[in-house]
Amino acid sequence: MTDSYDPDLGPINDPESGARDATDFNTDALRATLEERVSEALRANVDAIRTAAALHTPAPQVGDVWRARWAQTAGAVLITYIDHHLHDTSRTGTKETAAAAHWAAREPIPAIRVAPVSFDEEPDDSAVLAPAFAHDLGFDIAVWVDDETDVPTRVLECKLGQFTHPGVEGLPRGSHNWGPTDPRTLARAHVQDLVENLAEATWAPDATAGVTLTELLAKADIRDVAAALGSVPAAMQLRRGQTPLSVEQAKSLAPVLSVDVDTLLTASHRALPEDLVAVMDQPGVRSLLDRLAARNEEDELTARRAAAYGVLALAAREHTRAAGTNWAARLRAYLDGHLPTSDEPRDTPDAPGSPRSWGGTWEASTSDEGETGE
Amino acid sequence: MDQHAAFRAGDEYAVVDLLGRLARQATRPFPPPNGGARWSEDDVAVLVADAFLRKGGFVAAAVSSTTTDAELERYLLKVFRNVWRDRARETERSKLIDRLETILGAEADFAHYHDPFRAWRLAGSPHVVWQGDIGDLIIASRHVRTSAATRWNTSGPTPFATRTAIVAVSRAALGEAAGLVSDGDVARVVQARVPAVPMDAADAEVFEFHDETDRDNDDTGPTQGRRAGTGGAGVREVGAVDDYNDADLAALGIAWAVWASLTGAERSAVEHLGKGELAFAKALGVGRRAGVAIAASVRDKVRTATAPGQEETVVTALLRWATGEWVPNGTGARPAPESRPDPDDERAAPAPTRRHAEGAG
Repeated sequence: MTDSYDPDLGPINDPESGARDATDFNTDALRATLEERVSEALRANVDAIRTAAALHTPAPQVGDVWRARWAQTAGAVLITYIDHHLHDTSRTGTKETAAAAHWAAREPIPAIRVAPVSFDEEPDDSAVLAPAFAHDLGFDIAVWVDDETDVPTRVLECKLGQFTHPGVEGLPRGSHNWGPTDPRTLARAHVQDLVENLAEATWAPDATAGVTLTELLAKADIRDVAAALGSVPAAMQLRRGQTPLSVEQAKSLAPVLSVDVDTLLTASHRALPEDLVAVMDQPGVRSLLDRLAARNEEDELTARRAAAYGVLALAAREHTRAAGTNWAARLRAYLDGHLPTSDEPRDTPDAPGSPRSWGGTWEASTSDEGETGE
Repeated sequence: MDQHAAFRAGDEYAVVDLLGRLARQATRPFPPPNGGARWSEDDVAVLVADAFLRKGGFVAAAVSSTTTDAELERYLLKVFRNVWRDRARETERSKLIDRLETILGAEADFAHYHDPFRAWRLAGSPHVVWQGDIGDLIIASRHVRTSAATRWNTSGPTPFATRTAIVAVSRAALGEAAGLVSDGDVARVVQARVPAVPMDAADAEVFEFHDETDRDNDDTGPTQGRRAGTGGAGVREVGAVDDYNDADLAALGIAWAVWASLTGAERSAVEHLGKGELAFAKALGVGRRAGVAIAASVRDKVRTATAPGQEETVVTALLRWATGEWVPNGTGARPAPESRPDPDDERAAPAPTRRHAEGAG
């Protein structure tokens, strides 16, 4: 039994709440009742849960409904616009060819526009009602179209469904909101908070803030640093800024320098290449990072940064210049080395957990530019 | 596999099992639907089925919008409570529709029709069916101050102040509609705008009074006598009767009506209303905008229910209920602060009747 606690109702296994009765609860009888009365709705909800659990992460499209999550904020959103012209078009020449070039090269999508969605609230006049036949979710949903917001792609977690037609034009708006006591006012406020939090989601460290690794090491006894690293030359190279800090080294040094691993990694790598961040922000990468975080018993943010710096270190060891590096390949190599894949089907393109399931953005790799030492 | 993990994986048995257990837990504050001593498994099953009918994708919503098991349970518990309230509200609406025939029918400028459907129209309005937005009717009646409408009875004539408020709100709504408005829509507007009119059965019990003397006095205004003016809020609960004048007692009755109309989140919010937006939201565990919405709703309910000069007394009473300094327990005692009322308890101990007040004496 769960030990969840609600401040208003107490724990679910509180004897006063009837837990003794709960142990005798006839689930089969309830199931029979629900099958008889609301079988379609029950099925639709269970199917939606299973879809979410499958962590399906194809390339996002306009008209998709996705679960978006960042830290402790989560909710459903409808993708209403993807601006392919956000990308650097210099390689593709003209804006007119950018869209075609984007899909050919499967370049990462940095940001999308979404409208928050409710599965169990009525829309007011700031939202439209999308009936069950307008999409494949199986129940009516409210789309808060007046609260469309641009959010970074990194917040997308998994696809839940899709609209029959991508747009919301023609869908009816809800009735007029009558003011503060209208329950839809609070419902709308919740989804506004959701998209506001999602829009601010970030993980790459602020390159302009904080102390550098060199400064941290300068304050420490070099003998302690060398002892932690098991190597005097390594300690000296780090102090002089001649080599990047690896994740393993950061874990060893953190207690010596009295800072946490994340701070140390941030200090050692002041900025992450934008292209690497963009690659890691794709939905297909997220499930792998979540697995990595669970495996290392870390939170998602720490796991992301550790992976990013690990990829940088990998690229540095291969004497690869940051500009023009195939970060997708580097990331794949890093995750292959840190995640067990023996039990994952690698030949199923969208199988969760497979590096090849990264939303198709990896299918056509860009050629490395300027790599040396190959 | 842990139950919640199985739930999130879409194991149908785990889904149904958790729904059943949480629905049973959610019903704890509410009276059993068939007048029995407790909720039967059939009652719980009907509630769960009703949730699917009214709330569509609520289970999918619970999974997609929560990140912890505790959040998932709280989400589902709130859904079941809201469904219960919606059902009770519709039951009360049916009773209100019948009562409106008596109240509005006594007014010269209201006309009631049964064909093509049961509807009301103001004299002078065109005989056309209104097909507008119910929100507009509620908005049109917002200017009507419904203060002093704090008493309700489940039988017998409607108290004067409450009847006056119902007529004023209905007149404003029908004036806006300029046509035939169905009984159900008029009742919805009245329920939304007049605090004394019960939204659900729990409210009805709160406002009921039994005493024959009170019933005989139902044509009096809110300040007529100490006992009649309390609106049901126990005279003894506020300390010695002599400490309060008629105006204060009337305001306390209004405070009680407002308290009964607050949702669980709004009751929790009362004691934090003086804080800044971010601190307020943090105290409630919601986002900034949600906090603003909750605070605005509380303030609006207080504003529309209070007459000039009453707000301070009303807000003070709300704060004391919110913090547990006062508990409406029918005996008039002021309990120790630790016996804090459950803000989400829709059945906060019903207001004492005169018999209770006298018995405590």
